[in-house]
Amino acid sequence: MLDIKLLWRDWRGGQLNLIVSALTLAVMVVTAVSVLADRVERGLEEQITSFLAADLAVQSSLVMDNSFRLKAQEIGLNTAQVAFFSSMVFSETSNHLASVKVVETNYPLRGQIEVSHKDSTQPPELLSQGPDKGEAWVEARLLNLLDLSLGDNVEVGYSSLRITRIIINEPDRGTGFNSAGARIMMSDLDLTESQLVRPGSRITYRLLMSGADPKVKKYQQWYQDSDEAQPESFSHYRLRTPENAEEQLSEALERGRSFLLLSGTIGVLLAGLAMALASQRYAIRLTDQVALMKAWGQSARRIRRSQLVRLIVITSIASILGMLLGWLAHFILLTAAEGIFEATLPAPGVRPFIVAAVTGFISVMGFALPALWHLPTIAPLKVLRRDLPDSLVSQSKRLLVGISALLLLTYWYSGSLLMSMMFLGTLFALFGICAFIALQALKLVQGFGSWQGSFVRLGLANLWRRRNQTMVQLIGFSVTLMLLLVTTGMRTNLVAEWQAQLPEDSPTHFLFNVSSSELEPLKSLLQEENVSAERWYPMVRGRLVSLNSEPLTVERLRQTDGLGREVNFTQSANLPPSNAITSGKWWDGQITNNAIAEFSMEQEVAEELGVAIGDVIGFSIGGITFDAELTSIRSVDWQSMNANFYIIFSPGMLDRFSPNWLTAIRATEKTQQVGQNTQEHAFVSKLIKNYPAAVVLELSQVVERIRDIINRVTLGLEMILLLVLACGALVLFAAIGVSYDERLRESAVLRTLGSSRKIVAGGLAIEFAVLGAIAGIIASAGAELMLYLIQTKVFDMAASWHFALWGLGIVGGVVIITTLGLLRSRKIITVPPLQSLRQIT
Amino acid sequence: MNNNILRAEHLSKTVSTSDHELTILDDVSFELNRGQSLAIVGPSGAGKSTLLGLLAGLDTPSKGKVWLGDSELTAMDEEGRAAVRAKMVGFVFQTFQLLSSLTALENVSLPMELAGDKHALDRANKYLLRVGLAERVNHYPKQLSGGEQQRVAIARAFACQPKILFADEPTGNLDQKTGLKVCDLLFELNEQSDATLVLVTHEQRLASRCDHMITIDDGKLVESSLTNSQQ
Repeated sequence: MLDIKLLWRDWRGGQLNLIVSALTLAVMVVTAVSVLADRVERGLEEQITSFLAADLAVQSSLVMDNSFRLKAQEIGLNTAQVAFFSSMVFSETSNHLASVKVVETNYPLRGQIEVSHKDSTQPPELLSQGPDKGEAWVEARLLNLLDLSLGDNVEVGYSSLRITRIIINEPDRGTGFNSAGARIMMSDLDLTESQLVRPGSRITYRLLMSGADPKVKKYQQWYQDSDEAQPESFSHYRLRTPENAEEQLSEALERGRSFLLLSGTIGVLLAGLAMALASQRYAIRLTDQVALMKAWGQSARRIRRSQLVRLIVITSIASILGMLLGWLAHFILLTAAEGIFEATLPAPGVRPFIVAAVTGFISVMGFALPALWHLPTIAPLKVLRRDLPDSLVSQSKRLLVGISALLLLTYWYSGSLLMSMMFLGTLFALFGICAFIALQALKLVQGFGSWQGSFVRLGLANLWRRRNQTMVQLIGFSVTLMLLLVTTGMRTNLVAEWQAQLPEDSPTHFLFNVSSSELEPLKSLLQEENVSAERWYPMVRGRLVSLNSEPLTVERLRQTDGLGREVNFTQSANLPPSNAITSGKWWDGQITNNAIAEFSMEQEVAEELGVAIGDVIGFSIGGITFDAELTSIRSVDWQSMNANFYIIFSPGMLDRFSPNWLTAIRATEKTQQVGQNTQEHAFVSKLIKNYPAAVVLELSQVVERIRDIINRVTLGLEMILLLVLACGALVLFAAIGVSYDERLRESAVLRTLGSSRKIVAGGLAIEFAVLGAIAGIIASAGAELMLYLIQTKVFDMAASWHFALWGLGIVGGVVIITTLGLLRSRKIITVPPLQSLRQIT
Repeated sequence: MNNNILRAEHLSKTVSTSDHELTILDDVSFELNRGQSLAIVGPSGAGKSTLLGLLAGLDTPSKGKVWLGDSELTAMDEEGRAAVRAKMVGFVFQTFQLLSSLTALENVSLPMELAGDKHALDRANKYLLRVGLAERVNHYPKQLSGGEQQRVAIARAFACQPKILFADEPTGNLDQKTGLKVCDLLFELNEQSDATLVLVTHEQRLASRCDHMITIDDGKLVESSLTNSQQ
C-alpha cells in the first residue's frame, strides 16, 4: 500500500507522465491494429462455417464433368450446382458490371439465404432455396445503380428477369470484401436463354454436396484417389472443404495481421525510446529518494520490491488506458476502411487485448526497467556524498535488452524469427542511414552557426552540444514523417500521376466475352460508330502443367506474378504493339507446321519461372493438354493499357478451343446522362443493348476503384502513423526532459547575466526549428526515394518529383517540432531565474 | 550496563586511485556515551564526512571497528547495518535532502511510514508544529526558504525518535542568522528527545555547544575531549 502511495506522490509530481504516456501510446497502437485485425478475421471465420453452403464442393473453371455429380449421387450425397461470373446487367437507363450467381433451385445445401421482399424495415426472410425461373434476386445497391425497384425487370444477357427479392446475406458470400460488382442471383433454368455462357467465358462452376459425414469422407477419398491416378484430368478441378478454405484464409489473414502489427512496431519502438529516456530521468529523480530510504534502513530487496510494484501498477494502468483508447481508435481505422470490409463485424475476442497487455509488459521490461535496475544498489552513503558514481546498467546492455524486447515482440507478432529479424534489420538500417545524414547535417549547421548572431548561435550550438539527444529526436521524427509522407504521396498523387502518364490515345474501354459469331457484326458496328479499336484477340483460359516434361507445382507457379491461377492465352500472327522481343525470335507471321507448337512469354514471368528459349511447357486448356516450345521472350509495356498477355501462341493454336474475343476500344465522344447522374458513352449503351452477353469494362472505373482502395488503405495506415508520430513527439519530450535541468540552469545563468527572455526563447526556437527542418529534409528525401521505387517498380511508371511533399515535410517538421519543443520548454523561458536555480538545487 | 552508544576502534579508510592508495581516514578511535553530543570539526577535505558515514554505518572502513549500541556494524553486511540504522539512526544533511515531489508533511512522515508507523502523519504534523511550520505542512520544498527546509529536515529526523542523530554540516547552506536559529532548534529538540547527537561542522560556535569535540585533520584525529576507547 505504501508503495502505491509513493507511486501516487511521484505521479502527482509529474515524474511519471512521460513513461505512462509512452506506454499508453504503445499499447494503444497495438490494440487498435490488433482489434481491427481480429474483428476482420472473426468476421471472415464466421462466414467460413457456412462458407461453401455445403459440406463439400468441387470447383472448376470448366463446365463440370457429370461424373463428379454421378459419383456423389451414387454415394448418397445431395448435390446442387452453382456458377459465378461477371456480366453486364442493365435497365432502360443504366447498366452495371454485376457479379452473377446462377443456382439450381435446391441451393443452398447448408445455411440459408437472407432476403427481403419489401423495403428494409421489414424483418428479413430466411430461405433454403434459390430463385425460380424468370426471377432475379439482387443486392439492394444494384437497385440504386440501375434505377430499379422491386418488381421491375432487369436485363441479364438476352433474358429479362423480374426482381422479386433483395438479398441481404447468402451463406457462401465469399471473403467479405466488398470489392466486386453487385450481386444478382438467378435460376440455372434461365441460363441458356440468357446466352451468357459461351466457350471461353470466365466462369467458376461449383458442385455443392451435402450429407452424412462418412459419405462426405468417402467422396473425399474417391476424389483424392482419382486425382492421384489421373492428375491431368483433375488439373482444372479443386476440392473445397471448409477446412482448406479456412486454411487459405488463415494464411492471408495472418499475413495481414503481421503487416499491421509490424507497422505498429515502429510506434512501440519510438514509445520504447521515449520510455527509456523518461525512465532515465525518473531514475535520476529517484536516486535521492532511494539513497535516503537506504540511509533510513530500507533494504535493497525492499527497494527492489517497491520498484517492481510501482512498475506493475504503472504498466497495468497504462495498459488498461491504452487498450481503452486503442479500442476507440480502431473505430477510426474502421471508418477509414469503410467499404472494404462488410459493415457488421463481430466483436473482438480477448486475443488482441492479450497482445496489447503483453506488449505493455515487455515494453516496460525492455525499456523502463533497465534504466531503473541499478536503484536498489545505490549506496546509502550517497546521502552524504552525492558525487558517488551509480552502478548504472551500461548503455550497451540497455540497448541489448531493448532490442531483445523488440525482437521478442516482432517475433510474437509475425510468428517468424526471420521476418522479425529482417524487419528490425531494415528498420535499424533505416535509422542508421538517417543517423549518418543527420550527423552530417548537424556538422554543417554547427559550422554555419559559428558566424551567426546571438540566439541563432546559441540555438545551433545547443544542437551540436547535445548531439546524442538531437540524433535520437531526428531519427524518430525523420522515419515517422517519412512514412507519413509516403502514404500521403500514395494517397494524393500516385494514381493521378499514373493517369496523367497514360498515352493520349489510351483505350477507354475493354470489350470481351464476344463470341466468334458476334465478332464480324461488332466490328462493323465499331466502324459505323467510328470507334477506334485495337486489334481483336482470341482468348481462352488454361493452365501451365509441366516444364520440360516435369510437372509444374502450384507452389512454383505461385512464385510468378500471374501464372499461379488460370491464365488468359491468346494467339497472334504479329507481335502486338507495345511488346518487344528481348530474346528468341517471333514467328514473323508465318504459321509454322512444326510438330510442336510455339509460344512467346512475357519477360518478367519467364524470369520468375526460370525458363529459357527452347524450353517445352505443357499446357492444359479445357481438359486437353499439349506441349509448346518457348521461342521468344517479350518485354511488355503494361503502361500502354492495351490488351496484353503473358503467353501468346503461334497462329492457329487456339482455334480448336472456341475462343471468345477481346479488344480495347477508344470511345471518346458523345456522352449521355444515365441513372445515378453518371455519364456514359452513347456508343457503349448501344453496344450493350445489341450484344448483351458482351462485357464492357470502363478503364476509368477500374482506375477509380484502384484509387479508392489505395485511399482507404493509406488512410488507415496514416491513422496508425499519426499515432506513431505521437510516439515521436514523446521521444522529443523525453529527450528534452533528459537535458531539462541543464537547460533550466543555463537559461537561469544566461538571464542572470543579462540575456533577455527573447534571446533564450529565440535560441530554443532556432534549435527546434533547425531540428525540424533537418528531420523534414531527411523525411522528404526518404519519402521521395520510396515513392520513386513504388512508381518505377510497383506501378511500372516513369518517376516524377513530388515538390509539394518536400514542402509539406519540411514545413511540417519545423512547425511540429518547434511547437512541441517550445511547449515542453516553456518553463525554461518563463520561470524567473532565481526560482529556476532553487528548483534545480 | 555499558553506557556507550557509539564506539570507534582504529578506523581507517583508504581508496584506490589510478596510481596509488589514498588514505582518507587514519586510525581514529573514540567512545561516546548516550545522550551526549559530539562535534566533529576540521578543515575541508579532512575526512569528517567520511568518518560520519562510517559511524552511521553508511559506509564500511578499510580497517577498524564501529559499534552502534550493542551492534558491531563492521561485522554486519549491508542488510544488517540497514536494520540497525532503521532502529536507531536519524540524519540531518547540509543539503536538506528533502524530496521535491513531496510536501513538508509527507517528507517528515515518509521514514515513519517506511518503518510501518500507523500514526506517521499525526506525528509528522506534531513535529512540524514543534519546528514552527504548522502553516506550511502542505508546501513543497521549492516553496520553502532554506531555513524552513532545514527545519523540515530536522522535524523529519526527530519525528522518528532516533537513539542517535547524525548531522552533516546542518547550517552549512544557511546564512548566519538562519543557521543560528536552526542550530538552536537542533539542540533544543535533541535535549527534549534525549538522543545522542553527532554533528560534523566547521563552525566553532556550533561545535562549542556540544558536550565533546574531536578535531580531524588530514584523516587523523588530532584533538579530542573524549575518552579514547583504546587509551
